[in-house]
Amino acid sequence: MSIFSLQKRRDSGNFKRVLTVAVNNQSRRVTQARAKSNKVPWTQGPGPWEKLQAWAQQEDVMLARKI
Amino acid sequence: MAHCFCEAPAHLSISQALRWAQVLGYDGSEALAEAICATRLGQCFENESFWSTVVLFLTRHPMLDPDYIDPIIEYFHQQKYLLQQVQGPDGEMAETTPAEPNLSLKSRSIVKLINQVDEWQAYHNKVARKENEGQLLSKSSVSGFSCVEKDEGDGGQIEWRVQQILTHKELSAEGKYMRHCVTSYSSN
Repeated sequence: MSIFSLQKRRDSGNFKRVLTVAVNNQSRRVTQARAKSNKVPWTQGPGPWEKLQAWAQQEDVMLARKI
Repeated sequence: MAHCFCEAPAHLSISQALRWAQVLGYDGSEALAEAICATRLGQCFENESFWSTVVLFLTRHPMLDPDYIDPIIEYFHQQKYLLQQVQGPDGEMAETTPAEPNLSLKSRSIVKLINQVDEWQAYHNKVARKENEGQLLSKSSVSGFSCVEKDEGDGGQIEWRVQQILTHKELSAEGKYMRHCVTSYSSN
């Protein structure tokens, strides 16, 4: 299992953590993704969820049905 | 002492049996002899003029918890014989003299010694934890991600990135900031 951090910054400011993502390296599957205080990703507006999907597509990683 | 050597338990090596005989010869208990034989003193007799005073000192404190024997001996070894590593101005590590090359047991209080050993152990445990924090987690075969987009509202620039967390320290910072228990993956 590997842990990734999805982060965002505006206009060259500091990066801020938005999502924490757990990836099962063997099955190449995102098994967990959580925002601050364990909130599910899609409650954070479209940005983080879209970026998570774009990254998964780029890396050929599946998103588990229930993350 | 020769008599004690012959009666040493069969599972001890010759050097341990010699140490066993020394402890009993100084009127120490078998429990203390067992504890001392399990330390570095059960393996070698280098710097014996000092270590024999340590053995004698320990035999004079029969109520000392045997769990303290090894830490006390390691503490003395480190303070008196181990060269210290210091970082020079160029960042290179260099070796200097031990912390207390003249350390002796003259007028030493056992209570004070136990406190010193406790502090020394606490310091080393803290250093070990710090080193562990910097240790790398396994690199994933999945790479990171980055993209830049324009904010449709104010026209500003938004940069996104996905990065693998590669150290225990980063993982701990992530869990703390995000207020969840991702730190529990630290043992994986």
